[in-house]
Amino acid sequence: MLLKGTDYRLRNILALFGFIMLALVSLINLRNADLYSAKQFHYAQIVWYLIGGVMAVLTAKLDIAIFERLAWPIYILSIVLLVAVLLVGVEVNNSQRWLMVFGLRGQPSELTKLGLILVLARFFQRSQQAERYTLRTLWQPVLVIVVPASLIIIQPDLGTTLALVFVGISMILFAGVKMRSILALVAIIGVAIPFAWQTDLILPYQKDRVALWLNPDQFKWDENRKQRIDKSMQPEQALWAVGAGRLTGKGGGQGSKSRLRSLPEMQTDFVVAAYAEERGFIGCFGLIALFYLLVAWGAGVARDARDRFSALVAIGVSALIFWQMFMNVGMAVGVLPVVGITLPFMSYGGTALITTLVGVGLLFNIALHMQRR
Amino acid sequence: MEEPIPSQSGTSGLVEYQTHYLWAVIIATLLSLLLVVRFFEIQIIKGRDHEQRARIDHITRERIMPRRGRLLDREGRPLAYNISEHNLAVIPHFLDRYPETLPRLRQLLGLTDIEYGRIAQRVQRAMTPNRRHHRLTILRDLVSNRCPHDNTALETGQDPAPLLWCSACGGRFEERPERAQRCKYDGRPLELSREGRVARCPLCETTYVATPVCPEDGAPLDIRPTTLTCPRCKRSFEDQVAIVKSHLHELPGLSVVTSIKRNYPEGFRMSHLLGYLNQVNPRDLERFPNRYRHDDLIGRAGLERALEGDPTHPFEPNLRGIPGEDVFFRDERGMRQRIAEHARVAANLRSTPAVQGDDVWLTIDLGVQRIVEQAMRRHPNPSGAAVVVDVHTGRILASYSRPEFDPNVWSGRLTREAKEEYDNNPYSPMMNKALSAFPPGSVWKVVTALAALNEGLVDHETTIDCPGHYDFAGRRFRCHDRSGHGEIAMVEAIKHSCDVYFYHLGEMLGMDILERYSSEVFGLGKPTGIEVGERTGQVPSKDWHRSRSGGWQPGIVLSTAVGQGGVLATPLQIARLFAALANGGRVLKTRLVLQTTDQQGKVRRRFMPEVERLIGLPAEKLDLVHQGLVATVEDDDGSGRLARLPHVRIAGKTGTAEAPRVLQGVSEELARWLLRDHAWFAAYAPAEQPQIAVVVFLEHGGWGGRNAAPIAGRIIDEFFRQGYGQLPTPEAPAPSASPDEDLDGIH
Repeated sequence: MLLKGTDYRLRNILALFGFIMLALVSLINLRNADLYSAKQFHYAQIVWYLIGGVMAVLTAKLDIAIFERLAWPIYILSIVLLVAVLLVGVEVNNSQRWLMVFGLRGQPSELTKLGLILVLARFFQRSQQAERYTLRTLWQPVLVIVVPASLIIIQPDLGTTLALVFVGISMILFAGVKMRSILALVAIIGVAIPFAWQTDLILPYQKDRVALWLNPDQFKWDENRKQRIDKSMQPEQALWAVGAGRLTGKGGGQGSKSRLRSLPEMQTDFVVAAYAEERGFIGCFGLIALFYLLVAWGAGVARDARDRFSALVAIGVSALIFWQMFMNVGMAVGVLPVVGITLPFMSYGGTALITTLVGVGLLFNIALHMQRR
Repeated sequence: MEEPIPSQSGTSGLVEYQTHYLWAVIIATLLSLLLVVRFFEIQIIKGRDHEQRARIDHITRERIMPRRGRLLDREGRPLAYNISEHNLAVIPHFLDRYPETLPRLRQLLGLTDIEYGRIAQRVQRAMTPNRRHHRLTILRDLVSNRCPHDNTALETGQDPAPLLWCSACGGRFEERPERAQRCKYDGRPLELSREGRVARCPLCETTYVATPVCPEDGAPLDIRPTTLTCPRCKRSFEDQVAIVKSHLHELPGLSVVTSIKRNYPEGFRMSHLLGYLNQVNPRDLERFPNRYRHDDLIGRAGLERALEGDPTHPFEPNLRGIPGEDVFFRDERGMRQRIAEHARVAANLRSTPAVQGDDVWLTIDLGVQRIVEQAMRRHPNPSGAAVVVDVHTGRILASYSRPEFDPNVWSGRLTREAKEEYDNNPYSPMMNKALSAFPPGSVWKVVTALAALNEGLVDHETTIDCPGHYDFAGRRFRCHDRSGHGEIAMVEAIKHSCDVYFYHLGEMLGMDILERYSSEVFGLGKPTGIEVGERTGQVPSKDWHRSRSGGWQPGIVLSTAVGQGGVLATPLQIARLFAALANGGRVLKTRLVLQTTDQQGKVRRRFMPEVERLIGLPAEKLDLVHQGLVATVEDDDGSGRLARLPHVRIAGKTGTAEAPRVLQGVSEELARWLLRDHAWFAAYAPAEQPQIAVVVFLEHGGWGGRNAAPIAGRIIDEFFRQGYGQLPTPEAPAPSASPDEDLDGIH
């Protein structure tokens, strides 16, 4: 929509600059967060950016058909790894999400995101239907989403599960679904959420977070024990930190360092809180705008892709970036309950970053072979 | 891949992506706008609040300890109050890094090897990951401005004796004054050793040396000049707080912590009544959840324990008070910020002030207490008690028990050795004998007499022949006068304390009636209403005897009639009984607490006298017993004649209770003591217009008439001589021991 009619080449170059800017902002922000907590995450993140960058370039250069062929192998490998995580995974913060491979810690659920996008895209490429899809004809994609989602939610990792489901639904909708089926899908979700709530698929701490989000005052004060309840501290602290940024922010490295003790995920899930305090409303607006433009560009790539597979991969990757961004920032500013999910590009994390960069590589791959109209 | 990517066939499908693309962009736009709006709200609209709140790094809650209330006597003289105490605390972790600290401390304070070893051991034990960063008290009550022995304010000495300290073995010595044979401080003869070079006091364990050379290892002793002397005990001290504080730079990890300590200026005199304080133990924490924390002090005995206070009973005396809480913020630089300045962002957080403990005024008069204590101390018997009660109000004017303990020691630095010494003392120094039950012996006869009179079994003329013994149920019960008292009537029988007369009364009354009178009419065997924990004594019944190993035998009623058998009563119960006889038949609740006042001296609650029950016996019957009691003291052949005073007429009753005990493995002297009788004397005075009831009890003190009566006489003598009571003017009408007309009998 934006820059309509401009040259594809120009738009791709602008997008490339956008991603590079995001990477730089991310590294600077991570360095400042490290400054507050005396940690050294940003060095490792530079390495991950380099590895991910190389992989992105390779991805962009390869024939997209290779990824169509690799779709199922990647997906099945990720499922196997997810099962392995449940059996021999490393537990961090009461959640079993990581696998130790050659002394490196990896999160297989990140690979699942790629696998899911590729497999769904391949499915819609293969089923060349003239009509729009109905729920009956969609049982295969739904199954493809449900299997890894169930494996991830029992880790438990609600954030990644939600991201997967949202990405899957976005792709299905983009592929074209009958209105009646969309309504049916909404109804199914309307039933599924209370069901998950009742059957403890959603864990008590997750329920607490939702309750806290709906009613922030409820958990602030324990009358009986005359003390503050810890549950509320993390989102509240994040909110204070964000608010403290005001219009222009405190400047790099000038955030309140000591708050880190009550904001433990400053390099990962709450990375935006540190960013918002330093850069203020202007910086936050810029960041959201940057994400928005890149996602819009990705959607444009999907629209102009030369085939269905490419189009769906492009929309899948865009959706992945967008939904993770929305959930992460929404959680930090209190419009969503707290779920553990990373902010693409910004959060520290090797596997997540590489996945995102490979996705960006795919986007560029497709963008470079767009259908000229 | 089998088939090539269909590039042309898909084109028709791709057309619809234009709409889907629009939908996607619309959704992304709306949701991104939502985030931007939210950022605007948080950062621009509420930005100031959030910024202010973000400055608060953490919220700290500190407990505000209330001041523990004082205990005062009826005139407001302090009996227990708070003083500051300097303790030496250490963070063990630092000692790991600076191992020189403790040896330096040893040198600075001149610690003995035992003290040093104990400190090192405590520190070593605290070197666990959990405890090594927590403050640990290693030395309590450093000397600074008051004597650690008697809490007297120290003076800057004129010529204080230096302390001699051996840096090698840690021994502490003092220079022996020229050929001194007695201890400088307590006058005990010194024990000499090593050809007279070393002299040691067996009591205070001060070791004197003639020359400044260590007797243990021959090393020259350090001469440590002292600056302070105690005006009372004459000992010299170094100002330990000053020494430590001026060397803190050499002692990393150490700090001087000031805390509160309880002081009992009357020390021994009031020990049992007042009790003492010490640290809560895990059992207390369990028993009173959320009320105490580790290292809190809790009242342990006597009034300190009974009036400790319960926040759920706001009208009862509360010595401890209720702790408050100070809530404040610290910003990221650790600076303290008042909550009020952040009221908008912290509406739920509020500081609560502490409720200070009540000052409790006791009914005890320190002057009377001193009289009682001095009178008791004149008698060599090591164990006993004495009580003085106001007969009209039931207020306890003095209550003394011996041997005493030192509440200052028990509230402070009680060493294991001192504790063992108390535990092994055969005379039970920790037991308040005024509130402990003993066989009362003949003082109990007033109960039997009144029961028999009221039942109409005898009157003032009824005589009984006493041949010196009484044969009953195949057993011969002897009178204490083996030759017998002959034909004897009530007044004479009380006066001589004739056992045979009362055996007869007991047989006539029977166990059930005797029991009913004792417990229901006189309230014996029941609590007296005193605020502190007491024994209730015992009024035996047939059933009680049946449940015992010996079983019920008819002869027991005879023993019961003369206060033996299974009868047990506390000196306070006997005092209450005699107060009731003196005031015309009102059995009062005995009281220790007069009133409570708050910090400003405003009375919070005043405790009025309470009548628990009325004896309800006709006046002439009480009067007859009264005549007997007066004759006991005032007649030349009365059993209590040794209590007689020239200026005060006394009505009293002696008691000599058999209570032999046999303990294995005790010294011969102690074994003999345990076989002796308990000596009792209960009295009220002046006989015409009674004001006080006095009970003197000597555990295994022998004859009541010979041992206890003179003590009671002395107490009454001093009481009136020092002006605590009003002696009746000669023309004043005689006995006030007449019951009120409107009192109904309890029959």
